[in-house]
Amino acid sequence: MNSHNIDDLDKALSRLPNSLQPQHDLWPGIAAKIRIRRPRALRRWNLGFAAAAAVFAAVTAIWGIHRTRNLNHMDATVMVTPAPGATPQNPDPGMRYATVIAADNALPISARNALVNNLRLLNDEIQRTQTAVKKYPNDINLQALLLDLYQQEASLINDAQQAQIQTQTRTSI
Amino acid sequence: MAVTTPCTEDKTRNWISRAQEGDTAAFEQLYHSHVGRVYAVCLRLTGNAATAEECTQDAFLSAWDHLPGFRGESSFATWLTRIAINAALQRMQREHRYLRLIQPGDDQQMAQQAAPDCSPESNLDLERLIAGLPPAARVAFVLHAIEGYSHEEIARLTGTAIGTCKAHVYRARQLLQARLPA
Repeated sequence: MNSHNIDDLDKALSRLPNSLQPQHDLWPGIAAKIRIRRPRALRRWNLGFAAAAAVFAAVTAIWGIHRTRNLNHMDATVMVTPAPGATPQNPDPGMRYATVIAADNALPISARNALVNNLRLLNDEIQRTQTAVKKYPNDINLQALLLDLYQQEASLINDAQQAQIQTQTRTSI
Repeated sequence: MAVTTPCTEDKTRNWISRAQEGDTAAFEQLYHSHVGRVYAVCLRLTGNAATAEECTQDAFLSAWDHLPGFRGESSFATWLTRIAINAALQRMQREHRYLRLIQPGDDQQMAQQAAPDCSPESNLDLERLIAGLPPAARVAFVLHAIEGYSHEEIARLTGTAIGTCKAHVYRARQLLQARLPA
């Protein structure tokens, strides 16, 4: 081998085209194989949706079990006391329902006490917040807090009703 | 490869983003603008027109699958060429054509091997000679002398030692120079 040949080879290599056309149009075959596969965007969306749905279902199930257990096994250390702001003429809904729970013999005493006590605590907070809202009617934060407390009270009443239903079902079975 | 201008770059970028969303029409445009480059790489690596067409198909299907992961860190053509090289090497390894080392009889075999179907005529002799190289030497030579890969990169791609890769390239150059018309 000599330098002349090396130069010739390198020159010939540099003249080689970057692009060569195949004898056949390959696109129909590629397109057919792409069509057989599922669309990528849909595939990704499905996987994401399935994962999200699975996580949501698992979290909901765990949360539901946990809440039910808590309602059934609360510590029997609380006592039922009347709400300070409630009057016989105008009892608030939470405390009205608390009296219903307190009279329900189907529920374990510890669960009843816990529910009533929580309702009372919520009722105290609601009354305090209502007073504050009256004093500062333009305070958006106070209004949001009051709304949140109402929602918590509704949620607690809902849980209590669920616990009552489950207890009654178990008793009848 | 087609001449790249700002206009074609914009078009390519647009096609890529649409194809990443699953638009096959945009991917078809990418195919038509890059198939020549991909096929040329596959043909030179495999030395066989039919196998090169299969590798080209493999490469575009792989590109379709991996396109959502393309972030534009390199040019699309470079990214696609890398996919094509991998597709060709995988197919050759599957067909046990690649792993053979250079044997003493390879010089005669070179002259007897069928030429690839390629053009233009002015480069036909060299294309034919490259196609006639023993597979391992051809792969190393094409990747190093034509595609500009380093010996380290080729060794990594082919799973061989760097020294082996250098020996293949050297031997391929010797074989080609001996047959190149003066």
